[in-house]
Parts: sequence; structure tokens; C-alpha cells
Amino acid sequence: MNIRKRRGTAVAVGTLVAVGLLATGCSAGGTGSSGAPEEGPVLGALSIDAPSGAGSGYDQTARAIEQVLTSERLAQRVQVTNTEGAGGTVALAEFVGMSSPDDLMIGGLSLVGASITNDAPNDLTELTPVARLIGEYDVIVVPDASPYETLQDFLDALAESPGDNPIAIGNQGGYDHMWGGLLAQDAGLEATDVNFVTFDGGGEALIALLGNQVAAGISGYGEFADSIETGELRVLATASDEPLEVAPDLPSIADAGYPDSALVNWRGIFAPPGISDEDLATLEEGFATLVESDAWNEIRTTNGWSDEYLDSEEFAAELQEQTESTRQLLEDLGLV
Amino acid sequence: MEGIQGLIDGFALALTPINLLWAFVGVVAGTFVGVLPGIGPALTIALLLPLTYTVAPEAALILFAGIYYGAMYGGSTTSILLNTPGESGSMMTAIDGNKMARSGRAASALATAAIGSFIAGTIATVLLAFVAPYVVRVAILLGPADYLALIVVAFMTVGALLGASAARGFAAVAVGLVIGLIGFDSQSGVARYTFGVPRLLDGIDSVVVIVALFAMGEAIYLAARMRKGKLQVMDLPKGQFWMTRDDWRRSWPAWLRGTAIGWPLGAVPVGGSEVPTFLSYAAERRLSKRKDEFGKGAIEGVAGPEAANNANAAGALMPLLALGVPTSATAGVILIAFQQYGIQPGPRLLSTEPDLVWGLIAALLIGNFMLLVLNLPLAGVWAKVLKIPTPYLYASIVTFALLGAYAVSGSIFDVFTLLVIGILGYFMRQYGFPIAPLIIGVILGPIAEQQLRRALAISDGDASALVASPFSIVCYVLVILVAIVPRFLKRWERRTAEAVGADDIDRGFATAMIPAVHDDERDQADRDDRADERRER
Amino acid sequence: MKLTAHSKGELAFSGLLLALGIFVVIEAALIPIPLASSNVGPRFMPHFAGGLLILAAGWTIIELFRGHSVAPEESELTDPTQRFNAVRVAILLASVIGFAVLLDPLGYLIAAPLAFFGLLLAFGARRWWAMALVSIVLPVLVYLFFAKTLGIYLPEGVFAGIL
Repeated sequence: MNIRKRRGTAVAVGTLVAVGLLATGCSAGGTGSSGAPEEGPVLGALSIDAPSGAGSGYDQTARAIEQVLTSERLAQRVQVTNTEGAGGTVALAEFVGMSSPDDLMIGGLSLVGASITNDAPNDLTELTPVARLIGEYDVIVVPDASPYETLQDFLDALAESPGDNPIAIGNQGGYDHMWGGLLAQDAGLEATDVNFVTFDGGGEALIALLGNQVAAGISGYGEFADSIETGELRVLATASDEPLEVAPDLPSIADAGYPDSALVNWRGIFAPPGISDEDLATLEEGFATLVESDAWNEIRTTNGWSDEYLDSEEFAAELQEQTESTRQLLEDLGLV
Repeated sequence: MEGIQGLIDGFALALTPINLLWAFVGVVAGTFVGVLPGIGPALTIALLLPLTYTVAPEAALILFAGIYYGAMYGGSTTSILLNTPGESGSMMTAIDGNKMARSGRAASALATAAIGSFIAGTIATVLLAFVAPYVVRVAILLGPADYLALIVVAFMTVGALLGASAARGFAAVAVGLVIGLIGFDSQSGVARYTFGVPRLLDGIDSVVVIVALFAMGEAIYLAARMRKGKLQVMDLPKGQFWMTRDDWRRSWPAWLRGTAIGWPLGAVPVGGSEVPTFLSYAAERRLSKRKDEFGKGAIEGVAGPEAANNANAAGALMPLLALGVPTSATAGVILIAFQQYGIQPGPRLLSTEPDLVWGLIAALLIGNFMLLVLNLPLAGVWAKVLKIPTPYLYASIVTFALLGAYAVSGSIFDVFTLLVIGILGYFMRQYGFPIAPLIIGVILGPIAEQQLRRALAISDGDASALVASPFSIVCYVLVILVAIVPRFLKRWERRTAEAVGADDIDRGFATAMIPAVHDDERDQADRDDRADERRER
Repeated sequence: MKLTAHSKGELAFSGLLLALGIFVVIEAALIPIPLASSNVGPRFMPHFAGGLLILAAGWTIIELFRGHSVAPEESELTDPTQRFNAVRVAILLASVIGFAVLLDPLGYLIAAPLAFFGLLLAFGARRWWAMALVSIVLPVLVYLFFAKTLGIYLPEGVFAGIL
């Protein structure tokens, strides 16, 4: 009896170790890029926090940065951590207490919004913006069967009877909702009059659109791309004022007549508050090199991210302005 | 046939030694992460996403598919042996599976779970290959009102889990609904019952609740009231270690029904695999001639939900491949993996990337077969886990629970949540409140609320939209027929029987119309008996 | 009717659930209703859940006064007639809380073995050397697999930089 028990346990443990070894072998092969760099890298051993779970947009951005900083030998070592919670405000609250220029964090438009809607004690303007990096753009689409051909058609109908024209969005108070609020104002409506229906992300919104449950939907271009190609969805406008890099034929919001309603879902990199000017200059240099590398541009294109680079100073000014305009917009949407 | 040829090509791609190795690593790693509560396939695949920068697309997808299927098997193993579901989809398996294990039928329970998973996974994957686009086209015709109706049907599962007192069962459901309220309201964005604690804004993860109630509550109870004496190892009766002829006879219809329930629901965005497992359990109990065995170790209660769970996992790939829409967390991460390669799943995927799609489907079939081959012989070995001395076994369960709770969002806050809900679980255990209904409340409550409010938003507040579609009407008629009418009939029958004073009325047409009534009544009587026994004690 | 100690406990617990239900319903009044919501708002479900809890807990209390008490389920490991073993429960709770408190500062490889050892004590293990051995070996294996192989972040604590 005793011997049998031991054998059972040993088999279980043996399997565990075998799996461990196998998987270690694979992931060691996967990380690649070993060998000593010819010159010392610009940046030290960095830790980049993605203020959301693995697989999220912030996480993908952080991992892409990790990949390129390592392969281009711009940093000695990069470790990505994930701090989930409350739209990123949990991570933000922890990050404002940090001081080392090697601790970095990803931020973006949705975190600007979450700080406001959650009434969080901190916002991104308290950090040191290093560089704005990339962006993604929403599109507003209608099902193929919809009577609306242009954004103006839809906005007119929306102004007429907002209740009968539900608009699917991917989350409450996020980028989709904000841009929807801007469009509502273009239609001459109070943003709170619009019948926004919140789904769990663009995928569920897509199902509702294909099933003709809603009049229109707002989500990232990527979520709808294939159905747009097959003609099942019709794009009324993109959220960009220039044609999209990934789909240049789609009407931009400027084409539709509302250039002021462009809104980008940007993501950028932040350092802790109060780092020295030299440290900031080093970080800026590192990330300026990053965005010019081919490796970065390849990852960027694959992911459908647009180049939204701004250096530290421009980024800080833009962020300040956007934090205020976002607060106003969220108030208009009745979320603050 | 084009499809058959595609599948053959797919096997040719997946059967290369290196891809077989990836599949093997995937299923084994998946099994282990499935074992650990809190660390599921979604998190594991998300963490392995950087692999997509360096390995070929088919290799990564084969690995991820293996993890996806493997986790389903791992989750059922801990449910059965340790009464600790590794994933929320294995919760129903724990109810009867663990009872079977404790009465010495662990190997049978593990075997019916493994074979059921294999059969369901294989059928569902083959169907996935051939009819996914059509199923998805039908599924998108359903809207939030239909999803709500489906959830209402799923809530009937509670009826199968009430235990000795219906009042306590409903109280447990209500506590679950209350826990599900905590956090952001997804429809309006306002925070509810968070008391200014930022960590509560995202709500309490249902996995933490499950682990807290199943593992933590039981552990506290064990520490508080361990049986005296030298009983250090569970005293398992000797005897059969394999599925008997009777087990087979009872399992196979349950496997097929579980597949039929789980697979199509994969195309519908109502949570993950929980709803199908609930429905399968309720259906098995309803259809069984031995209702009294449910909750005490009915093999159908393991076979059905396990099959539903795996069929659903394959089904969830349908909208992913056909529309690019993930209907489960894991499918969501697999979608990102596709995108990392610049591949956008959608209606055109099969024509643009046929090799990849067929390779993936072949890999799923191979992985599923590997899992069966790995798990069947291991069933006997795993069953010996129960021979580990109690202190070591329970210390391991609790440490795994702690690690899992921490891993859910990398925060010790969840460890404290685990403890608090664990203490609640202790009191529920102590005072005869069933825990499974609470978990059903936690899982279904938020989905029900969300779909209700979405449906009403779409109709601009018109409540008649809730019962406007054929699908929702069918659902509500089903609820009325199964859950409400029998009670009235029973009452009516009793009254008639009293009036006529004849026994044969009892076998009257009402019973013939709805056979369930009679069983239900016997069941009720049985429950009363049990309650009486307890009172006497 | 005379209540046993057990049914007094049942009664107290049911009363607590009743109070929770009342609290949920009262607290629902504080949930802000956003301007934009046109149909059932964020208070509907709290009212429903709290109301159900009040009804069900109240019904349980009525059942109890009618003498419908439910004994805890027995199992081969537990015996409901045993007296509540406060020492063991205290050790268990201390192990869990200790794990939570020590995890970040000292790291998983310190917190988990301590917790495991404490849990073994709580569940009545005796042989010290076996306890110590398993308490160290098991967490190390777990660490190697989940942290080192899968890359799941577990705090390194005092071992930061060494591992």
C-alpha cells in the first residue's frame, strides 16, 4: 500500500518535471537574441508595467517594446509586468510612488478616461511622459442592410430619433464611447440622449451588428476588418482625419465633414514623476531610436497600429490638453 | 470533397515530428495549468504570446490549441479528486465526481470524464471543420433577449442543487447574485458596492469564489472538526477501478447529450463553458431515472457536463474562425495570436489561410487523442492522489488555492478575498446551505443583468421585446413546462386522489403526459425522508 | 420549542444573511443613476438580489422556528459532533494571512513553505522532518514550473536578483 502510494506520487512529480524541462527548452529557444552587444545599450535593465492583464492592448504594446528593445539591443534587459485593475488606475496609483528611471509604464487614452470616471486620486499628467508611440482608430459601421450610406445620413436619423438607433460600443466610458459622444455632438444631440448599448468588446458588438440588433457600431478597425472586406458591414467614417494606413480607401472623419471629431486611441510610455533631465534625455533617445527601427515598424504594421510618435515635450503638452477635453467629454456623456 | 482533402492536408501538416512535439507540450502544459485554479488556459496562452515573434504560426497555434484542450482535462481531474475545480467550467463535475471518488469510484469518474471529453471534443472539432460558417450564421440571429432567455433556462439548474431546504438554496443563489453585483456596472459604468476600494471595481473573479467555497471553506471545516482517531488516509473501499458495464451504459447518452448542448452554445456569446455545463447537469438529472443519486455520485452528472465543457471549447472556435469573434476568454487570446501573425480570422480565413485552419483542426483532433491516451492510463495513478495523507493533501489544496487566487490578477487582495469567502463557505457548510447555487448566482447573475439591460436598451425600453423572438418563447415555454407546471399538476393530482380516494388515479394521465412529475414527487418524498432523518439525529 | 446550539447557530447565520439583504437594498439607493440610462438602471439587479435574499433568509428563519434544522453533511474525514477546534482553525487562518502578508516582502519561496508548514500543523501532521521537507520541496517545484517555465509572476522577495 505504502509503496504504491509512493510510486503514484513519483510518477506525478516526474511528469511535472518533464513538462517543466520541455517547456523551458522551448521558451529558451524562443527568446532568441543572445550574444554580447558590440556597444553598451543606451538603456539599462528596464521594467515596463502594462496596467492591464496579459493579452490586452497595453500588454501587447509593452511586449512589442520588450521585443524590439531587446532585438535592437537598446536595453540591457526588459521585464514586462502586468498590474490589472480598475481600468489601469490601480497600476497608476502604484506607479506614482516609484522613482527609478528604469521603471516604466504604458499609458493611453483609456487610462486618461478611467482616472476621471473612477475619480482616481492620480492621473497620467503626474508622471513623466517619455514618448507617445502608437495609436489605433475606431470606425463607425452599419450593417449592409442599413439604409444609411453616409455618416451624415446616420447622424440625421440619429438626431431625429436617438432611441430607435442604438449604437453598439465595446465598453462603457472607453475610447468607443468617447468617440461616439463626439459624433453625437456633431449630430446636434446631447451625448446622453444617444442610445449607446455596451457590449463586451468589439467582437460581441460585431455579432450584434451582423444580426441586425443595433443600428450602428463603433469599435476598432481591426475588429471589423474582415466583415468590412466582405461587404457585410459598411464604414461610415474612421476616427482619423487622414486616411488609415491599413485601409486607405475608407472615408475619414474629415471626409465626412467633421475634422474636429477625430480621436486617436493612443498609447505611450511613461517614467515615474520627478526623474532627472539626463535620465529623461536618455529614455527619449532610446525610444526615438526604437520608433525608427525596422523591427518596430514591422510589429507596428502587423498589429495595425499607426505611428503616433510625439517626443516628451509635445506629448506632455498634448496630454495636459487632452486630460481637460476628456473630462469635459465624459461629463457630457453623463459619466462623471 | 474539398473539406476531406483539406483535413488530410491538415493532418500532413500537423503530423510532422516537430508539430507533434508542440502538440504534446501543449496538452501536458495545459493539463497542469488546468489543475491549478486561477491559472487557466487564457492566462497561460497570453503569457506565451511572445512566442509568436519567433515560432511559425502553425506551431504556435498547435501549442495553444493543445493548452486549450489540455486545461479542460486538468480541470476535471482536480474537480473529481480534490473537489477543487481548476476552472469554472469544471464546477459541475466536482459535485458528483468528487462523491464518486470518495466512494472509491475515482477511476471510473476520471475515465468517464476523459472518454466523454474525447468523444465530445472529437465530434465537436469535426463538426467545427465542416459546418462552422452555417452554425455561426444561425447563431448571430440571436440577440440579447434570446441570451437572457437562455440564462433563465440555465438558472433552472439551481433546482437540481437545492439540497435539503429550498429556502437555503435560494438564499445561496441570492448571496451569489449579491457578490456578482460588486464592481463596475458594465452597462452604466457606475461602481456598485465597492465602498471606495479600487481593487473591488473590477468585481470578484468567479474562480476565486469557486475555489474559496469548494477548497477554502472545506479546509476550514476540516481543521475545525476533523474526525478523531488515527484516520490519516481516506479509507477507500477496495474493488473496481474501471468503468463497469453499467457505467458505460449510463455514460454514453450523457456524453452525446452534453456534446449536443455544449457545441452549439460555443457559437453564442454567453460567458464561457459554464452555461452549457449547468444545462447539461440539469438535463441529465431531469432525464435520469435515478434522480436521488444526483449529488451523491451519479456518473451522468460527470459524463454530461464534462462532454458539454469540451464540446463547448471546440464550439467556441466556430465564431472565432468564421467571424473573428471570441466568445470565451481563451478564444480571445487565440485571436490575438492570429493577429500577431498578421492573420485576421473572419469569413475569408478558410480561403486565405486554408493550410493554417485545417492544420489547426487536425492538431486539435490529435491533441484530443493524445489527451485520451495520456489520461486513461493515468486515471488509476491520479486516483492514488487520494491516498496521500490527509494533512499533506489538504495543505497542498490550500496552497494551490492561495497561489491560484494570487495569480488571477497578481495581487494579494484576491488572497484576502479567498479567505473571506472561504469563511463564508465554512459557515454555509456548517449550517447546511448548499454552495453550488451560490456559484451559479455569481456566474449567471451578471450575465443575466447585462443581457436584460442590453435587450431593453436595444428596444428602447419596450419590455415586450424580451419575448418577441421564437427562440426566447421556446425557452420560456420550456421553463414553464419543466419547472412550474409539474408543481401545479402534482397539487392537482393529489387533490384528485384525495377526492376519489383511489390509488390508480396516481397513475393518471397527468403523469403519463409528463413523466418527470412522478419522479419529481418521489424525489421530493425522498428529500423529506432525508430531512426527517437529519432531524431525528 | 427548544433550540439546540446548532440551530441557534443556523438562526444567527440566517439572520446575518437577512441583514445583508436589507443592507443591499438600502445601499442600492446610493447607486447613482446615470443621465443616459433610459430603461432598467443599475439599481434593478441590487433590488432583485437583495429582495430575494431577504425572502429566502426570512423563509429559512421561519423553517427553523418550525423545527426544520439541517445538520452539516458528514464525510469520512469530518465529524460534525466534534467540538470546534479553535487552535487548528487559528493556525490555519494564521498560515493563510501570513502567506498574504509575507508574499510581497519576502517572496513566494519564503511565504509558501511557511504557509505549507502551518497548514500541515493545522491538519494534524506530526512528523517534523517530513513536514519540513515537503514544505520546502513542493513550493520550489511549483515555483520552477509556474514562475520559471510559464513566466507567471511570483514575487521574488529576498531572492530578487539571485534567481
